[in-house]
Amino acid sequence: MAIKFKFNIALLAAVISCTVFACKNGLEEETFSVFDANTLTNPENGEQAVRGTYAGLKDNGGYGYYAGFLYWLYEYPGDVVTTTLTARQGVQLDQLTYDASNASINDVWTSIYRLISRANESEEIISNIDYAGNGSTESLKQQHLGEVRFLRALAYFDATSLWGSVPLMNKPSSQFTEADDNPPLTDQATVETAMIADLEFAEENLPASYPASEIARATSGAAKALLGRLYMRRLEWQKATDKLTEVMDKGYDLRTPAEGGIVSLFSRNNRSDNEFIFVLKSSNESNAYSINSNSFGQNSTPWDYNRGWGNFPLNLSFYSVFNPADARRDLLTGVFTTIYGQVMAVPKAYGGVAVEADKDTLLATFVYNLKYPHTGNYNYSGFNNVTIIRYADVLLMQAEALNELNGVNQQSINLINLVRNRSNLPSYLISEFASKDALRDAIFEERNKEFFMEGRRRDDLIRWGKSASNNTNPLLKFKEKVVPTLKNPATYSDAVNYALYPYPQTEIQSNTSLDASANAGRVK
Amino acid sequence: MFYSIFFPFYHFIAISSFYRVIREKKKKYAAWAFLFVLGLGILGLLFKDSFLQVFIPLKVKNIELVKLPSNRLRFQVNVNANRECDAVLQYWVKESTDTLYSDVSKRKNTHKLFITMTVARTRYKFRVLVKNASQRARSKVYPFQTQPIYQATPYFTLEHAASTILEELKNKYFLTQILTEPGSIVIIDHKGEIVWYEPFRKGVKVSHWTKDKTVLSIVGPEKIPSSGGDEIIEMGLNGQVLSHLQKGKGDMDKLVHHEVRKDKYQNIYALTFTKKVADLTAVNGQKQDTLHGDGIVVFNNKGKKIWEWSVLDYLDPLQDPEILKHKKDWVHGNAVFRLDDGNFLVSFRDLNQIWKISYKTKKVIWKLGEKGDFALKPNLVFSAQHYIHPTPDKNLMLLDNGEINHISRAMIFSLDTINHVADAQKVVTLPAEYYTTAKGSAALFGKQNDKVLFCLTDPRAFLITDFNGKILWKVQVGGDPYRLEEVPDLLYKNPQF
Repeated sequence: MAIKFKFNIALLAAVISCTVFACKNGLEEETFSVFDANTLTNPENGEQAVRGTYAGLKDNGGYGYYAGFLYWLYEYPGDVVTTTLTARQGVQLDQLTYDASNASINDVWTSIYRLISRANESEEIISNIDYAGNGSTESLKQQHLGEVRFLRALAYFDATSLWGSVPLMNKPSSQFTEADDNPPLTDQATVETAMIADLEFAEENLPASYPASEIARATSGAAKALLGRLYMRRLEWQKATDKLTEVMDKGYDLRTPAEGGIVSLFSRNNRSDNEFIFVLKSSNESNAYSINSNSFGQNSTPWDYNRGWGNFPLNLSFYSVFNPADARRDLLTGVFTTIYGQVMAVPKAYGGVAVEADKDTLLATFVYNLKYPHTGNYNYSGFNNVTIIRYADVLLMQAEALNELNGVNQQSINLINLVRNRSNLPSYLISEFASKDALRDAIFEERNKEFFMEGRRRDDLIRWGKSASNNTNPLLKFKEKVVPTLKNPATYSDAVNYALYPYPQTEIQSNTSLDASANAGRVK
Repeated sequence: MFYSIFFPFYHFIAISSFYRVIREKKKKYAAWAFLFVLGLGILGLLFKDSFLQVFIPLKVKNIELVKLPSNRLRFQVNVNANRECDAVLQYWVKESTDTLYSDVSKRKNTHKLFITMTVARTRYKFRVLVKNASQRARSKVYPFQTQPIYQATPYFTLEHAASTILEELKNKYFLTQILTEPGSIVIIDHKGEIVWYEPFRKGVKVSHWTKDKTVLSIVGPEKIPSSGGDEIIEMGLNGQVLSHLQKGKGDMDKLVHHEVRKDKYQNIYALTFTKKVADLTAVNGQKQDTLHGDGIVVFNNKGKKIWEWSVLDYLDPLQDPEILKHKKDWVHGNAVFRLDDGNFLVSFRDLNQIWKISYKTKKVIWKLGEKGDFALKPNLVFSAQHYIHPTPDKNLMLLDNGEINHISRAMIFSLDTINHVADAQKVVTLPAEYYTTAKGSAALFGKQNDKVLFCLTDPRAFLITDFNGKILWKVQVGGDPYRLEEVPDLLYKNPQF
């Protein structure tokens, strides 16, 4: 009994010992786990995605997209802004000698698709976040989606303005198939249908305004205005006027003469004005939404003025189109004292004050715009707004749409007069216009004086040509206005459709869905 | 550890013995049992490692792969081993034989290791290797996949690589930076693929690879002009911040700009903005007018300022006829390099000069360039130059931006400081389309130092050329790069576990 008991004890002890032993070490398996914080679940991540998409508007800063190169493509080919001889890419655009390898064209193309890609990724991220379940609201989620879809539509607006048919890529990279590595061109009308869907979503879901700290985010008014601009480009006058009427209901106004008028609109201290519907915000105000900079401040004015680089000289003849009373002329360097102490003035023949050059007076050979004031410091630090849509544009678009629909009419005249009166010009009378064509010409001349160096001129010239030719000759006005400004008028070729830029060479080489034939008729 | 191994033996002996003692109340047994246990314990202590090896070999217990959204190319791997050991990660692109290693973590049970130098959108495999004095072990192989870091349009695009240079480009890495906001330090491989980056809310104005396998950077908001910043950050490849100097904290009382480097004494030095009040009434300025210029500052490795110098002490404002025009950013220093002899080279863009400055006396030893102390043939006068540094054979190399004729070139000067003659050992002239008005760098490249590595800001290009200026390698950049530096020893070597 005793022996048996002892054996039992020993067995029990051994079993217990082995069990403990085994648990401690012997049978232990190597374990592997993954902690992935990339799966975004927080509404804060949605906000970050939205901000990242806005940042695409200036691409990587410096000259990127709306901070520079886009307006090279919109302004240089036109009749007002010319360029300095040293900027080779700019000269090609200005003198219509560009080809598919022009670096600025390529730059804008990649910037546009970078923004579209960011919008697509953001759309997916935001869609996958449960806002309401994480302490936020469904309406903020819809607003975020509206913001990125607005930005995507804006990018496609530029793409279709510049190239017509372009690849339509509205899905995130997670859904890419092999075919998406080489996207084919999508018909412009199909791209525009997608834009309209984005903008209609945006106008429904964006707020009318934002707190002061988040100014320059897209509003429903901005979505409507861009939609209006798109309908104008499509010559869909009724849709345009309907949409623009909605914008005019949104509480925007012109900066009045009492507030300092058009000149003060562009002051560095007036970046949140009620006339701005959508801008690339460039601000150093504390708590301002993001801090951006653009290249226009540094490049707009000449060295003699404030050590600027003078890359956007305006033809002297442009100065002479202004009535001396026109406040908008004060946004040009008509007469100024150079940093060396001389006076630089536009010659009398061009509406200026200079009679002849002497030791203290220099005759201006160009004028320069003052819409992007800066303080002469290095590093592209433009702390100005880059205007994308402002209320004066809405008013003049509305005037134009109504004229196209109804012919000469009092409402159009009233709208133009709002813009003219603000700049100290007398009202037009309806009796001054004998025909729809005459009023159309007046509207485009007014737009030219109002929006120079704001990126509108190329689209305006093309739309003017379309309207004036019953949509048969988009280049009618472009040719009429631009050829006299070319150094060699023979550069202009009727075989080239200047309304469409060539697709960048690098895109043609890397995208197997494209080949050189895509640029037939787009370059000489 | 000891108890975990011997616990079962004690357990067995103790349980059976004490049962006997309790049951049979025999004190003699109790004494013997006690002695037996004690003996086992002593044996265990004496032959601990042998017991361990026989019964419980070294092994990896847990591995946790951590993916953080802040960086998509860097993964933390937490490793638990059953005993103290050294650990390292071994990883490779799936179906490739090129193996990469992490840094080695030493003498711990719990290790924090980092996978770095991966490329985006790629499938990898990895395992953990551990070793101690007598044993080694490896974990199973696990997969991981890197995510895209940007979409659709790459920032760095390899446009050209000549077949003659491919062999030499293998395993070459280059450090550059994104200076706009949000900024980033970036390391790319020779295909232009990003293999390492660190994002910042502010811009990264300049960065420099140190001999300690770290990156030194000036970080600052875009609104600070002249590549200036308010922070100096030194960071390891694992993302750890090793030094962090901030303006207004500690000894950093001025903004820094354009350049930050480490000398052989582990001091950090940089260019600063300096100010001085001067009487400019003689040229129609103010009685008390403020001049803005450049200086050098040296911080020791504890962040203490140990040396300072200002160009404003060595220039007479009244000698500059346009001082009122220049006073906001006089001379525009844009590069500094501390030589082995302890003295500094500084580049002043607006003077078109390089100065050598004595560390001991703070005096200017010589000036090279336009109106400098050395006879210089007219075709060797450089302008708006950047990136002054010595070559391995002690000549001086710089990027001549070439403001004079809009042609940029790399230049290597040998100086005869006795007869005051400077001659160019090499001038590598670039085609006109690569002219850059500002910023940029040029340095020797290649096993034989017979090529030049360029960063050209305006044309947004990185180039390698031969000495005739023939382009052998070109990467197109999506933004304005400030500088490009070769990273000679980026990869961790095989630790031979």
